[in-house]
Amino acid sequence: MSDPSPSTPLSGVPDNAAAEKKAAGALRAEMDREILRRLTSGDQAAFSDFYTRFAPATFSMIFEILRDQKDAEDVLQDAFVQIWQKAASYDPSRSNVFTWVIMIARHKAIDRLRSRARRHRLMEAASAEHAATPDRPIASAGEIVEQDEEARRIRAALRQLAEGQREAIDLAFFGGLTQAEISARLGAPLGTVKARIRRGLIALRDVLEKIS
Amino acid sequence: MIDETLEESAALYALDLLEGEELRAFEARLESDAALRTRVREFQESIATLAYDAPPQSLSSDLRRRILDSVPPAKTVQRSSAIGTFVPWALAACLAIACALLASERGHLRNRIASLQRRNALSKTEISTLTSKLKNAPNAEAVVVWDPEKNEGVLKVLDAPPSGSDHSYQLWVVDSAKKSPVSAAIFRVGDNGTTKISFKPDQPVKTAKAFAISLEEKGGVNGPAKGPIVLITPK
Repeated sequence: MSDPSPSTPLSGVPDNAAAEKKAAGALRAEMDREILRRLTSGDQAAFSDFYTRFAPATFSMIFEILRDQKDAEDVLQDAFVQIWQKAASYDPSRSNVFTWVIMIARHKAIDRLRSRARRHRLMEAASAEHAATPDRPIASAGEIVEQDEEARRIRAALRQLAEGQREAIDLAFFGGLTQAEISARLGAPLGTVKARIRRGLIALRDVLEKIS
Repeated sequence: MIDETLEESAALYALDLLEGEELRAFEARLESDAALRTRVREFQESIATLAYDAPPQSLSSDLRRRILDSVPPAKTVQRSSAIGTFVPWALAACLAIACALLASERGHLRNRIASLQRRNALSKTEISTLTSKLKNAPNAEAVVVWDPEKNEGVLKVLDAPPSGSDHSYQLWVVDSAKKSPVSAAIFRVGDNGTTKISFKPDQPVKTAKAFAISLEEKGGVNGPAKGPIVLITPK
């Protein structure tokens, strides 16, 4: 082992916020995997921990996609039950747990959105639904505090994206639109939309890495 | 090597924007291209964070119960009680919360810790961060989640120098009721600089005032620490 070159044991230690955040990220990822391992063994207490950890952000995202309380609750339930049943299929080499959970929930929300849109098109009422104002209050102050740190970090990162990039990514992520639909919505050629999405995701990745 | 076109496809794939033949061709390529899988993973992880950009919404009070009730009845989960493999769920949960605390700005830490301590389930649990005293590894970190009632805890170490074949790290608990620190665990750190262990001190600890990790000869020491302190709870 190399010489650890310790300093005097009881001298003051400078704050190292960057190292703390790095440690926090790694620890959080590890604990997420621990919760999932417990889910795999059928530990129902782990499912409660899982709900506490993931439900707030997941539900907020689903609600942002669907803008309907009942639909959002149903989708969260579908997604979490699927995760309970399929926890063993989680592959840590492909994604972290948070990403895996969000992707499963988002797919279900987008499926629900598209199914609803099809239904609404038949009723010639599709556009009104998507523009609807949320029919319920936003979260309590306490819940906001819980998500506040991560949300502030993400919003700071998103502000650094070019407007066109941000719009294209949002329309895909929250709107569930196809490439052609995004192109039509933005009035931009398909090639431009693809390029904006690519550049936007690269920028987002780099900014998140930097601020993490 | 990922060219711009392929990277564009990776971005579209990560957002579920590929369809038909384009999707099938990309997935086939993905199977055999590790660099491409890494890029997709990076994009997906960035995309997942967008969930935090959605305005926070309240979860209705009965939703938790409804969802928990929708899975099969609880199984009895057997856990080993052997130190080193057993991570008590409460401590594990606290370690997760410690992560969140560490992610907070320092200015928010006190409020959030106070908030946590109001929660009954966690009120007995103490969380300590240990910072590096190592000039050659200033980013080394450790977190201890300590359950004073059970006199046991969980330690997570990050970015520490490997202990090598001739040395061991030793965890100490500084008990205000004792003259000397109490040995709590002897452990190794591999090349990845990371380890996580459950520990129970050699003697009962009344008040865990601080934690410290020393570097000792292989196997640790029985008496007080002989080697240098490498990580310690800041004063």
